[in-house]
Amino acid sequence: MHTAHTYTSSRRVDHSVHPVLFWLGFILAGIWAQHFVPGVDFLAPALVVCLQQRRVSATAWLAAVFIVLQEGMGSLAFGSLILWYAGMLLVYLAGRWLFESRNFLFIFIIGVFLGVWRYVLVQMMASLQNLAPEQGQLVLECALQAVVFTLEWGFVFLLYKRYARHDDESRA
Amino acid sequence: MAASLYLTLYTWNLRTGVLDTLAANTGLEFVSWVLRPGKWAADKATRLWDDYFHLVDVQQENRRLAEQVDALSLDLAALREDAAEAVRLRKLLGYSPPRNWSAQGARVIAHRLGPAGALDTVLIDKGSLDDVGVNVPVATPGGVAGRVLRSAMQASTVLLVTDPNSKIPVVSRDHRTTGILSGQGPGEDLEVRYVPLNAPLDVGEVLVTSGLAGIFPKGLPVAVVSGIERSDISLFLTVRATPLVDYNSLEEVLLFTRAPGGEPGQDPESLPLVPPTDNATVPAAASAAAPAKPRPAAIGPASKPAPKPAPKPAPAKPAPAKPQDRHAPGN
Repeated sequence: MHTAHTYTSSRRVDHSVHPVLFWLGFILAGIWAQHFVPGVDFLAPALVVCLQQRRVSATAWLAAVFIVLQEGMGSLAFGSLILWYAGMLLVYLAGRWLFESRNFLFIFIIGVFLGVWRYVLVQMMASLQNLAPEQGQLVLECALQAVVFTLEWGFVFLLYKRYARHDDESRA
Repeated sequence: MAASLYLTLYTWNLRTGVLDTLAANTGLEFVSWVLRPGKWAADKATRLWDDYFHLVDVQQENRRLAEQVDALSLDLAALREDAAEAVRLRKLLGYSPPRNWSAQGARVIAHRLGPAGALDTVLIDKGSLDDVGVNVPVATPGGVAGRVLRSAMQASTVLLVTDPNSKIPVVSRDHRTTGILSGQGPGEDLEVRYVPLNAPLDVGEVLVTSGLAGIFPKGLPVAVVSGIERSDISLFLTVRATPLVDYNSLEEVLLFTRAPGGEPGQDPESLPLVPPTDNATVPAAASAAAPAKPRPAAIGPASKPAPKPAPKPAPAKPAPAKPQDRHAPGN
């Protein structure tokens, strides 16, 4: 039993990469995912995973990078992505009072919030710029965002636990 | 405190555009570098397939195109005569020579991206380093595709004609009826607004840019009228139009930039609608003057022999390009 545990541990260490490399790969994959599924944020689950791992500094620089990337590739004036990620983080921090942070239902609620939040945010920011987003498409993307966030979080969480180099298993 | 800081930041950026420029030159640039290799690989694979596995189709297409070139050459010869006549008439009317334009090719590397991609846009691989700035007109050999909404160093975001925020002043090619062409969303027909009830307009008539907003060159085909309805309660006709470009399959586009000091008398209606080539700049002056009116079949379904419209008195000078609000694409 002890031997098996040692073997498992050593194998994890062998496959793990530095978190910076892990998140760099995640960003590249996320950009390509956004290329194939327009209007959906594939980078957001990384922030929740980081917070769950109590990686506050990583959360901060990832959020900064994500904001610059998403604002750059978007078509609205700078500012919507700050509210977008701030809203998500607030819901996460508030929800921790009620839910265990890795609870699947909790993650799904965050996903649903993101779907609704995106609709509100796009409407609000677009109206500030005298723009009129296409409604049917926007609603579809918001629904997709809720589903994608939940599923992607599970995937990224597993990958991070398995391949990112970290030792503590602390619970957020 | 945080809210007031955010509002200050937001309004400051709306006025100056500093953060937008920063985001474009970092985020958009990075994204274009991430997507470019994949697009390059896909292009190579597609070309390999075309070159080695579809030779038969290529030969047939080659034959067909050769026949088409012959037919178009005849058309071109006739149209040159019309163009020369138009130049002479303009001189007679004291119509000042319009500005010149040049065209360069660009590749589409992505469509809408990310949660802030609320508008119907595409990402192209040319940016400010290639003299591509905001409001640069974007077209294909088939017709107008849109205009540049935001540009980074080597990438730009293009607002497509189908977006509801896209508004292009157009004129019908045959009857010279004017209107504002507006998008209705991806996959939907376009709408021509502010067409008076008594305006002459036919289904099947091609709509071309009027050049009145100072953004698009005059005479680029945009759409073809697909439906006209008369309303009892409105002062305007309800006109639907089908775009001439399939925006879902855009791969290459042409970017038109003003060429200062070009040949005088060159008509922007004679923009060279030729397939783009990589890094190739096609000066408008290099192309033979092609007329605004009857274009060859490549333009689209407009096909009725058009009655020759009376030349409309034009303003002495085209409306100067207004400085556009960087965050208001509805123009």
